Amino acid sequence: MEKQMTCIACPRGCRLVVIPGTEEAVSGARPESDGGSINRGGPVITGNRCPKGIDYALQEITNPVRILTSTVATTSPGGIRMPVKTSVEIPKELMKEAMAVIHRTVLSRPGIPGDVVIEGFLGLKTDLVATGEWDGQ
Amino acid sequence: MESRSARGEKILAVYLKKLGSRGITGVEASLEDGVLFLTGDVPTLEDRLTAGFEGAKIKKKYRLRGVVNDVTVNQRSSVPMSLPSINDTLLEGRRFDAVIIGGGIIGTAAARELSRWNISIAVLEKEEDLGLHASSRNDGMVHPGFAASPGTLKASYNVRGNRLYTRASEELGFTLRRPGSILLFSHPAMILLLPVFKRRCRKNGVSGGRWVSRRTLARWEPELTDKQRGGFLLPTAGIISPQEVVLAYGENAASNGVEFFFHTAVTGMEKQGDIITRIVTNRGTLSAGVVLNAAGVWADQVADYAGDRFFSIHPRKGVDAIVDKKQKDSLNHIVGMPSLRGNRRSHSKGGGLVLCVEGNLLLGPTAEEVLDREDYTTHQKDLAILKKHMELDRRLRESDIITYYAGTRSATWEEDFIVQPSDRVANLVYAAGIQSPGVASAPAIAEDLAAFAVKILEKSGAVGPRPDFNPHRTPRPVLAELSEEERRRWIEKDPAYGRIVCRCEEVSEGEIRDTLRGGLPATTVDGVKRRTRAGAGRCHGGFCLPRVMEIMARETGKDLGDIPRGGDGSWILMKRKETVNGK
Amino acid sequence: MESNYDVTVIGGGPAGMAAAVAAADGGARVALVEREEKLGGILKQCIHDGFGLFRFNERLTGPEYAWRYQQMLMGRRIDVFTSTFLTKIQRGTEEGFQMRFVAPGGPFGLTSPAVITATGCRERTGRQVFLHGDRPAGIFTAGQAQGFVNLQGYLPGRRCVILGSGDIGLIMARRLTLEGAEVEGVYEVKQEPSGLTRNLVQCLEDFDIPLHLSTTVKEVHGRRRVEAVTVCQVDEAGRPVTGTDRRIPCDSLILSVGLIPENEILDSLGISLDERTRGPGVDQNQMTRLPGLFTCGNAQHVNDLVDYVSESGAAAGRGAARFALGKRGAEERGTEETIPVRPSGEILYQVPAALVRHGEDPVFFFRASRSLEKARLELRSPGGEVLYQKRYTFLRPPEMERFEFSMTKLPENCGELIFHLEEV
Repeated sequence: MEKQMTCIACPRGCRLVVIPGTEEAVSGARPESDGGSINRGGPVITGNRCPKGIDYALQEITNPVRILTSTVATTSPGGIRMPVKTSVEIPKELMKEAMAVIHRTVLSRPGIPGDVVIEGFLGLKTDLVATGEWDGQ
Repeated sequence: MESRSARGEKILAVYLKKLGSRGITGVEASLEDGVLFLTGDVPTLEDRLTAGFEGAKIKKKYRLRGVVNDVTVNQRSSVPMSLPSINDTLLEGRRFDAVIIGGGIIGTAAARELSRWNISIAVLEKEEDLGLHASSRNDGMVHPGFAASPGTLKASYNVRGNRLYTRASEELGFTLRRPGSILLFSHPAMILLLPVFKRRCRKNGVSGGRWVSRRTLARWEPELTDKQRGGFLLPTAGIISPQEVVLAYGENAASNGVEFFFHTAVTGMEKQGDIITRIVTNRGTLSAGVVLNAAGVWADQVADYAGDRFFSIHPRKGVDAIVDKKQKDSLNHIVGMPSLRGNRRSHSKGGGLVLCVEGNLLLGPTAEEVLDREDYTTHQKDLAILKKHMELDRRLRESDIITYYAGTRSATWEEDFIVQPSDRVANLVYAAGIQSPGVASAPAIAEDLAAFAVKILEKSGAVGPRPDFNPHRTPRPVLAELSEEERRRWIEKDPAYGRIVCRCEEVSEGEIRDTLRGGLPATTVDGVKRRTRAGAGRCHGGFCLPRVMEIMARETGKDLGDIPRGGDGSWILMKRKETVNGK
Repeated sequence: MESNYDVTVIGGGPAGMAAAVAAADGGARVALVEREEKLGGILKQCIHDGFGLFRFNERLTGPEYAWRYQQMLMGRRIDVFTSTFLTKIQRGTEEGFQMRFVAPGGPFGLTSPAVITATGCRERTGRQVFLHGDRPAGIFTAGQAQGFVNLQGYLPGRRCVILGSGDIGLIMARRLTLEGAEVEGVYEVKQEPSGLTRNLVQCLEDFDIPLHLSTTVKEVHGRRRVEAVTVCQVDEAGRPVTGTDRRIPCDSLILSVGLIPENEILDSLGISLDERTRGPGVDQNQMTRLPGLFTCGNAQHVNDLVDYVSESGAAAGRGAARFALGKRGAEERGTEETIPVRPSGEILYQVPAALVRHGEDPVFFFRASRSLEKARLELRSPGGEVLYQKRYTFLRPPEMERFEFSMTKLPENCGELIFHLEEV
């Protein structure tokens, strides 16, 4: 049962077609079209214009992840908000929980892009980092 | 005269026969105290209109006191007047010498004229600011007085008002331009109309009307369509910004002691004999020495509260479109198609291209009879009609249209103004049925309303002039129009005048903040826009809305989520928490 | 304060900052003027990622991208003027352009032989797409709503309908959903979506937000606040199909119906705008037909990627520095041989509009006029000689293409360059 998806690794948005493979993985298979497949018996991925597409497709069918971006409130009397992001992709199914944590967060110290706002976000190996600057006022 | 009299019976018979010959059934007519009352139900709006207009003809022919059309269309009449949501006792027990119902251009100008006298004056306005209905939904043209039929109040007030605008603009500090208007001849034979046009000018007292040749017109207006064949120039035609004029009158009235009450709607009256003793509103019950009815589309409802029905309003909707400012150099004169028929049921009054005082070009208006009195929805068909006006100027494209809006004209069935003290109520004065040329007529109507009101008040005691009356209003400066030296002085006083918030119209933070202070402050985002043009430019507030709201929040101490766009219920933002609790 | 700078850049977003950096690196003394209090332009509110993949080879958010450029401004001969608004610009005689500004410190003027306009764009409003019905509160453009959510922390409503499948609309569909609002659907008048494919996936598919093509919002209902909208289907010409009206209860309408380059200041200089790009035509040095007047970024034409915006800004900066410092000799100004680039075939538009012999090798950007499965792009001389060729497997109008061209390929007497795209 083939699955169609659009690669989002870069703006080109290659249209991928993924044919899930059997459990057995046999090495040495050669690509049939530009881009390529992994090994005979494994999933066959076509339509990608670069290797990133293969990584993306495999990820999507096993463990889809996303970078989450949002803003957190600060203690600024002017209501300034700090834009934030997860430092690496997090599982797509955790996005709702992640937003709940973000909604509860209030930043009280100044920061610049890269500063860690929450370490070990959601207990994962990712931080919530600032992407903007705030002088604390 | 009553229905029961022989003459009355005859009149009703003539009327109903006329309706019958037009295929209209379902209308009942009666006469009471000289007023023709029409009731019943008809299947179409067109039938209701015919019933009303035929009634007006009867009224004129038999010199009746008035005509009131209560005929419904498929059991429907207008949507009732929406009431403000607030209910309190702000006005409970208060008494004013003069109470003016309606804060449009008529009520506000009348307030200012009345404030020359040493009396207490209140203006009751049901919206959150002045002039939000017909007064701000028009093209701002100060008509020369040519279009109105000779002998009507429209004609006489128009011509008088047109003249008074010069002094009004000087005293009140609003912009008045007199570009003159040109009625275009689209066919060479139209030059034969010249004697007709000249006679109309003579009859109405319009000065300066003259023919211009095709060649002269092409020289004056090079961008005008090739199809023009000369035209008739009316040099006294002027343009104002109606919102600016209403606020100018209002601010001067406020500075001379007039009190303005917003979100205040009149819901009833009490009389003793032929005198109004109490005025019931959603903010309490008050009393007045004299009541002025300037209630626009609801003027007949107010008359009903006073037990004095002798006219009724049928709303006629109009749509205007505004074309981008950068086309402003395209026209020097107001340009339109001639119409001698006044507004009587003409589908487009004439309309044309009007150069707004702010520099934008205005197309319109359309004219469409409707049932609902405050229906300001626009529709695709309205623009289709307006696009025809674009053909007058070569350079205009549909994509230059920035915005379009609708308004409703308060028309009586006689299609003329009613400006008079009441015949039946001793302390009531009317300014009803003020449709076009209402804006042009306003200064003159206001003078007469004040005179009528003072005369009524004098019956109970002497009325003297207000000792500190100041006719002058200093308008808020538009910094973008000042010289750099003047601008520097303002910025030195306060750097907020050097921070540009609305970049399409170049309005500074200081100017916006100033509208939130003073005699008639803005209390909504749209109120700020009306006073400064912030948000009225090409991006329509796309960039400046958040900044304007922040300035308002800071100045009033309110939360950003509580800053309204306009009237009751026009909230803009919500906090995320509130999506759970509801707004 | 009258001051002279070699190059003045109007606009401190990603185009203007890149222009300022490049001009300074080209040896010019640079003034960078920004009307807001902070630099960064629209990037300040674009808190999502996907910026900088080409420019920095990283996936950054808008604020991070802006921060990188802000860091680059430091240590260079660039004077930054914030909260400063251009009120007037005039072509002087010898010295170049005379500009007047207003700022909290008072009005002042600058004069520069070279000026770069990096003024970005604004959003098309509901009136400009002839939205009818009532005029209640609750109608926002997508960028406006984005600012409220990301900068002020407020929602435009609880249940939103989005008109327009452009990138901003798609981004906001996701953002609003993450913040707890309900997005009933995204409606697109054309038969194909307008945004980047990546955004269609990440913003709509990820959240099960339906996309309705060939459907538009024809009317808004609600006197004070939006209560509902009526949508209807349209045919290929965009005309409503009778009998397809559907009323959708909602409390906000978000409009993502196009961007318009902000070029009003060019009116006073008499510079005409290309009808298709809505920006002035430029050569590969980003110079307009008015010598010394350069433009870049979204003011020149609406871009999809901020990376390309900065690239055009850098080219403008280099060109402006060369111009101002006289590296382009006086005899070249005005007598420069200009080779117009003429679009042909399935080209919606391409930039630059013309090439000049002296200067950089051009970087061409173009959009196809419709989706093409297999296409061939050719640059030809008037004689028909093919000077450059490239094949594409898939082109969509919303996704602008880029390629580099070498001026050495241009023959001696080349009256114009034909920029031709066709399906094969």
